[in-house]
Amino acid sequence: MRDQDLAFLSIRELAQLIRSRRVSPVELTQLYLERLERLGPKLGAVVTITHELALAQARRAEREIMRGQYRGLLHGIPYGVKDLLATKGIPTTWGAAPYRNQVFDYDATVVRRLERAGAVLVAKLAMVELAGGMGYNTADASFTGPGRTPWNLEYWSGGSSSGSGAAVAAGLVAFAIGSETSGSILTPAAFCGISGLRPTYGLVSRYGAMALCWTLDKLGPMCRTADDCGIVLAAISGKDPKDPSSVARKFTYSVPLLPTRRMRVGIVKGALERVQPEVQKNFEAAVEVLKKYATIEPEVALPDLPYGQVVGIIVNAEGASAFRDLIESGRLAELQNPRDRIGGYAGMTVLAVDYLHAQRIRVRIRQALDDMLSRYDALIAPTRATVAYPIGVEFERAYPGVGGGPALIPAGNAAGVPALSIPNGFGQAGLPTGLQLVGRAFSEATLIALANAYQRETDWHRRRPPLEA
Amino acid sequence: MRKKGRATRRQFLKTVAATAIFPSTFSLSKETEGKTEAVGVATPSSQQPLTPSAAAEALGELVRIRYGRFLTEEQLAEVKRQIERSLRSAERLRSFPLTNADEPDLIFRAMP
Repeated sequence: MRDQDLAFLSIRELAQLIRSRRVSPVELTQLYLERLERLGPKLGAVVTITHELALAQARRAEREIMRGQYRGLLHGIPYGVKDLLATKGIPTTWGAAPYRNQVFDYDATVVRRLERAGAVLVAKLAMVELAGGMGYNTADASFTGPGRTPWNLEYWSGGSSSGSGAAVAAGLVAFAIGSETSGSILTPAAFCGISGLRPTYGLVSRYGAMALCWTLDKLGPMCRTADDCGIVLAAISGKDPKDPSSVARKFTYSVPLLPTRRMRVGIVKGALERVQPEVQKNFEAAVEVLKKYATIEPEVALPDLPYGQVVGIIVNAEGASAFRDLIESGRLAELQNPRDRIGGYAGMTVLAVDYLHAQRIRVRIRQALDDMLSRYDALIAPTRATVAYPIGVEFERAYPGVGGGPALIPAGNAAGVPALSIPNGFGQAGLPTGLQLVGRAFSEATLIALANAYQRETDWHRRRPPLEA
Repeated sequence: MRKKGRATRRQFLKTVAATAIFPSTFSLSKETEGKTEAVGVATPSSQQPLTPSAAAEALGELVRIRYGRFLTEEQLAEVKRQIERSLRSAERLRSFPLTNADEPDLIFRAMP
């Protein structure tokens, strides 16, 4: 098999090759290290390549596998993490110039759990500075420069898990970890044409992750297939005494799940209002595929609640508190994006009663969404109304007249429910589009089963960007 | 012209007083609600220029007093517009009916 083909295999396929000793973890690691070095800079996707650690972990995996001590599907699989996860002795920059020399003396729980599963950390991946909490409005919002989608280098890879999205799509890693406060896994997954899973709030420990917003932050897998998302989530989920928000539930996953009965899927009302024509066409085609596995109910209205405002006030207040030292030191001025240099100051003026009001409404949001989601296996909508934004253009000026629609991303994040974005075609400028599936809290297995069924019927997740052409 | 970061306490209190008389009465329209997505993709907001209300001016003065040394006049004007957007969001939330029994979505535990 050619290296280029190997680099784009799914975790499950790579695991089979590794377990049967047809591919060595060391060779696979060297392949990804070479691709990270050669292609990473073109994409603005990489902060640090962890050569020494990666090769040490790969050699260890190889020794263990040769001795017959196979740990599971992630054993010997190279991966990257968004550079907001602490890694002992390796810089963790949070994508922001004021922290570019920051080094922690411990590993984040997710990194520790992946090491225990035998995975190989090859890179710390680029991200929007401070995970976008200061209100950036262009792709140029990281000290590593704008993240570029491998499908068209003139366009953004999405944020804030920019490097995680681009690196998976370009075959620089087998999978990556991203984080989402409101949209930061789903958006780069859609803009890069990969599968991204935002888990239920609390399912994955955030110990060792940069805090932007304690009541909204989640960590989740970004992979080439939905099946791979299940494999990674199984390794990183579960209670962690070091993260009080983590819950005593473990997600288990080994064989690829498929729907065991006919599912019930609702299309979010207004989901196709003001979307790009290709986004609409691809969504409608995806619905036709899903009809094989699900009864589709059109026009399911989201409860009329102020999702965007609730999330906005919570992010502004918690973000200002989390970065109060930075804001009060004046070092926001060192951030890359002009909007980020001032965003924290407005956050410092959010009134406590307004923050608490938002948190009180949030209870109603959770209840209302759960009532509605309990009637469906999943709600679906286009992940984004448009393809990726052009680099160098303010987001709000990129596609005038397009965008808006139902606030599914802030609604899902406010309620803490899981969502999965999978690729469902291409739109203008050769850029991918995404299909978003949202379900009840802890319904990840159902979402993955439905997405697996979709990916069994389609090959959008198999397409490769023209990066090396 | 007043020097950046040098609002007197009297000027600040005067603006705060005006806030009480002219509270922000705007709220985000339904059309913009779905676009208010923090973090994942920044906050595509209305292209229409925002004029800060008296409340935003007052809170902007607080920013000037505390952090004015870090900000240019242009940046401070943008901070005030951001404050105005935040106040409009808060205003929309205040229109949502809650009772005394509605607790915030935060759990305090006495055990360490």
